[in-house]
Amino acid sequence: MHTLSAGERARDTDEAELVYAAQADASAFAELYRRYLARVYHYVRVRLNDDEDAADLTQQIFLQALDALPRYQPRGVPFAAWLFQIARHAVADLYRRRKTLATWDALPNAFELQAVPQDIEELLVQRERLANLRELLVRLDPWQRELLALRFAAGLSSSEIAQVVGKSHAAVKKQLTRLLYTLKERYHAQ
Amino acid sequence: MRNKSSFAERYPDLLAEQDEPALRQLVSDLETLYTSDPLPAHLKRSLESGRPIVLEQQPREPVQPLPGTLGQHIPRSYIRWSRLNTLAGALVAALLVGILIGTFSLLSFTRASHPNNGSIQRVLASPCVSSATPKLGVSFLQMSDASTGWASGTGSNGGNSQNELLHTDDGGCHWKIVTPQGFGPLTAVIQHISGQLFWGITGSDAENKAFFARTTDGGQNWRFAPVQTAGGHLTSAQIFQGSVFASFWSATEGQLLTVSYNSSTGHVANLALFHTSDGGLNWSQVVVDSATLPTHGAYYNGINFLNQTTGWLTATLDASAPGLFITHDAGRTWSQQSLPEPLRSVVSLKQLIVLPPHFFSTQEGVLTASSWAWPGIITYITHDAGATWQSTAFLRIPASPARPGFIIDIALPAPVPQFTGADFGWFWTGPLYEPANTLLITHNEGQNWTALSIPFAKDYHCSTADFISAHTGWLTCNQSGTHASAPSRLFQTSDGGKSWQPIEYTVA
Repeated sequence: MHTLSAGERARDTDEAELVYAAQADASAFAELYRRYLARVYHYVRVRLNDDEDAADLTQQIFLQALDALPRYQPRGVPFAAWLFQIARHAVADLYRRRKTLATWDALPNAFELQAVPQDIEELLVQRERLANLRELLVRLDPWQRELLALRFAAGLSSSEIAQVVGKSHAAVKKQLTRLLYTLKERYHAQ
Repeated sequence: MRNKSSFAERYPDLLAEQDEPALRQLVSDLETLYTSDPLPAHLKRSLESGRPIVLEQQPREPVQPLPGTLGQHIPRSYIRWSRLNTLAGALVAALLVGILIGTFSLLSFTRASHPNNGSIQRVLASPCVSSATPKLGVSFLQMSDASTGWASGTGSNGGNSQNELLHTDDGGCHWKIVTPQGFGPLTAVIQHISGQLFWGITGSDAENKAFFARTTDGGQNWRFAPVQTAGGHLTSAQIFQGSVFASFWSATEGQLLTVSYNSSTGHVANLALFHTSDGGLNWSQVVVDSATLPTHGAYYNGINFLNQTTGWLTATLDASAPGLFITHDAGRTWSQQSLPEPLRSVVSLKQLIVLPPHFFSTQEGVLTASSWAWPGIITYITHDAGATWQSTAFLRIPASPARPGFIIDIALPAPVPQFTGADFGWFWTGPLYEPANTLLITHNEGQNWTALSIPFAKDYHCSTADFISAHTGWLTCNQSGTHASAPSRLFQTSDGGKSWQPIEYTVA
């Protein structure tokens, strides 16, 4: 059984309060929306090859969440895990209904970094490094990419990921750790 | 980009004790890669209002309201047994999905070849009388015959998820909770062999000891036996944190495999094989020649023994050949078994991830594999007790129409075909493959597959199927629009899918 850290407990308690408030008054959903908008968008964006589609789907996910919020029980699944279950389902459902072909180009464009390094040399080094990293990600299987997307795009902890994907926390933690170490070895061997 | 709090604060659960510069660099770059896309302007604006904006213009492809609600997506830490172990192994090994580009479909679904197809399917009245809502939902059922079987019962109890082992004696009308008490969760349930006999693994955290659990009377009484190792006993940590697989070829004889991995390197840290000849009451460790099995770049996903001496181990390998290993000396030594290239297929042998074989008799059996490069499955057939395998054609399953191969995307569990015998096999496509929510059945060991649509699938999210013959089977479904905690619905067919009866079951 996974034991929450003190930080996770405090955050979950805080979010539970927000959820209770939002369940009583939909306008109180704003804080949850602000807190999770970017995370949901990034998670969706890496799966769709279009900014606007990703934005539309992100909106739909929050509408779904708002609609389902009265039935959500904060003591069960953490809000983050619950929300990303909706997001995961939404992406899968969209895939099922669409005929378009997304490609690897749908990766966030590492060459348009928001935080620009201080000098051009550093920028070039970073570009090359990230390009190499993309090459490594291409070779991962879908499950491994899913783990990384949930971890880094959605910003979920391994325990939250476990609840999103329906696996044990120990298994997810082990797989994530192994994956990162494997990637690290390959990354620095390039 | 996310607030850059300290590294330890951001990754306390994963990297606290392994904080090193190279890993920091990787994590930092991954974070950059995944979060560098800026929010579109209108999303940024919506942050001010704090709620989703109503789009004034339709998107190029309107995003429809999502069917159903969260019911099927609330995770269920379900009880696993043999087939589910296989599925879990397949998941972990990331069977799945590859490039959907290309137009090959070497084996298409047929809808007319099966006598059931094209007929109007009916939903009949329930044979059970119950108006009460069951307190747990039945899922992952495995029936042994038309009357007796096992299932996982999931639900919510005071906000906490509840998972129980269920047993039925009347075809699924009444389910009884038979989870063994006094130990940890039955998290690694392994195998049932009949309607009354069930084996599993549980553990006592207090004693850090794993126990082999066994019932021979449908779960009314359980016996627990520790698994002795060369240095003591199998620990609960090994059970709950590693992988456990078992294979029984009779009511008394079987093998148990445990595998643990080094969390830093991913290499196999320990692989242990045990044998029992008294139904699990006593175990002896088999001395495995570790040089005959890979420990680097291997992730083991199953085991199956045909008899006391001959068995197979399967693994996902970082190599150019499927991880299929065979033993002829009860597991002491292993050798990699070759498979023929897939028949008339875009998939090559090195792209396959194999699962343990399943035998219908002492000579006949099948082995299924999926491809990580193309979404689909392939069946290998043996008629000589696994000495040689013949390939069938690759069945491409268009996993979600837009299934991208090279995108950071969702992981779909590969459909894993199940067989009741050489004359009947099936798998449920679920919502993420095409044709969605469809039963695919075969009457010739996977050489041809026929799609059998379910008339009520549009109203339900059906998740698991189980058959005991070509005629009799069950489906577990969640009704669209119901909440996750709503009990699942159970449907049964006795005519190969022409008609379905809802089972109004109870759980006590």
